Amino acid sequence: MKQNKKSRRYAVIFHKDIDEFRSNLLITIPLFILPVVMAVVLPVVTIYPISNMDMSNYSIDTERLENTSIHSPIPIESLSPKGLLVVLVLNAFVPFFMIIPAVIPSVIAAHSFVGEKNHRTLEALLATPITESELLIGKALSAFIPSILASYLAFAMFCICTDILTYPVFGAYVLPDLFWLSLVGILTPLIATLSIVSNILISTKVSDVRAAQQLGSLVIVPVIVVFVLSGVRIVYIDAFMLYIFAIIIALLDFLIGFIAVKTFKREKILLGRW
Amino acid sequence: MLKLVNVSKKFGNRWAVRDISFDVQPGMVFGIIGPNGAGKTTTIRMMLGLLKPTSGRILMNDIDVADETQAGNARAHIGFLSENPGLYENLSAYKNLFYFAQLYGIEKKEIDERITAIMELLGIGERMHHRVKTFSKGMKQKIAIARAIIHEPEYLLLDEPTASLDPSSAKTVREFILNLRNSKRGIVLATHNLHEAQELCDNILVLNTVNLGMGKPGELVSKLFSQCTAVSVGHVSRDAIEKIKAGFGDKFISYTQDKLMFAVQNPEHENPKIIQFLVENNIEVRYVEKENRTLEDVYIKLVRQNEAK
Repeated sequence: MKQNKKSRRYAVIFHKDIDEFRSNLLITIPLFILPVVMAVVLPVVTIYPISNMDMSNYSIDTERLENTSIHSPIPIESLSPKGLLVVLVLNAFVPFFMIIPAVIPSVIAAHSFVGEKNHRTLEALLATPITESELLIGKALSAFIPSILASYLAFAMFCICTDILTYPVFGAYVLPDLFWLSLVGILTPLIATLSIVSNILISTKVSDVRAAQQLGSLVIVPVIVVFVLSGVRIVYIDAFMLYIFAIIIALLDFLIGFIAVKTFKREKILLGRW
Repeated sequence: MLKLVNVSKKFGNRWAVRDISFDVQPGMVFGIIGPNGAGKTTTIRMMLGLLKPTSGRILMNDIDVADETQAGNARAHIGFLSENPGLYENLSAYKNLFYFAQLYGIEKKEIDERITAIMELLGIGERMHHRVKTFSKGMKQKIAIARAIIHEPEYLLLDEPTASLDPSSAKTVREFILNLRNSKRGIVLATHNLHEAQELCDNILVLNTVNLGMGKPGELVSKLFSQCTAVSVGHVSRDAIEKIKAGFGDKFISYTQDKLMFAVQNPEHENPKIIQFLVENNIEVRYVEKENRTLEDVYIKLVRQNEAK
């Protein structure tokens, strides 16, 4: 019976937050805009011009390609110059699918946790019989589930757009493949969790939504580092790198999550003291 | 019974509340009055289990509120209302109440009935499904009251509930507090409004970090002040004031706004002597009346005494 009430309370917090988000444009706009821009607009403006380029006079330096670890959905040796260019562009999109799960939970979690302080609803909420763990899980779910859905939806749109745009180049529908499924399937929840646990930690100290968002957005820094390193070809995000990155993020999730849970106490939340 | 035993709270090196004890019985309104920063909100927050006392115990029906394993049980029997309604502005009044009712563990089939009954009682039934942000401050506070009693708590903790309301809304809230007292709930009211405290409270604690005085409002007045005679007079020169001081010593309290105040033990015997003295010193006497001391006088005297220490 007690367990029933507990499970219900997570759901109560989750449903209330979703109700609130639906009526808050500051949350719903980034939730839609970011995935649409990254998953539809950018592929269209980059891949479409390439697929219409005349590249019959170009050739590939196969020796140089052997020393790289570019991920290609079709065997790299069978690529045409145009196909290779498209593959390089697709590789450049990889970090975008790490940015989406980093940014969206940060926006939602900032409103969800710090928003309670800002709107002075926190004290009444903490005065109910809800336990700290119920509150924490309910709030974390209300940031996690919409972010994951938005990320997966963005990926689905990206696959459809890319397949339509690249069919003339590859002669086949190439996405999703195992690499992309692993990338989105594993990294998205891990990065979203990192963003949420960081925001939980921040929320106990900060009482302004914008400040929380700014601090929470620091989660994006490791993603930007990977983005820059892959941009200058120091790092290629192949399957091996992807799993290394996933392990690092999982360790950070555990570490920051542990600190956040220890810090998430009524008195600390209310007074903003660690 | 809600019971505080030698409760103290320290933030860093500063005592917010030091060694206070009191009981709140069902059907009683217990007032906490004190200046800003006196520890009223800290005390309320400790009673809710939101802050842990540095020392001392807070018991609600023998449940230790500071014990995290039992605090949820205690909170289920306590309702809370603060100066800020703290409502979800983008949600309707109904959704706000529904949300809190669920957090208090009320069965869904009961919630509708309770919300409708309380909203009708507060006179806002027809706007139940409107967004809270479209409501006036007074209406928002009514919804916050509804939230505080949706789970039918045994005790209500009210932290400055009328502080930011217009007189009419404040009156509605006060009437509601009296109704709740009649329904045998124990109420703790932290307030700046001394008239409100005098009107509503059965017992009062004057708090300024420490307990400056506690008791029924009438008892506090009679404990701190003797009876008082006010004499409305015409102009009184400085020389005359000096003569009055010399003639009556400590019994002469003050001269303000053409009123001379005297502390008296036996008015029938002492008032004629006062009048005779004034007339003999050519002071024009207009009226003589008994001056009733209020909780405000008690409060000011206790706080000033404490500041002087």
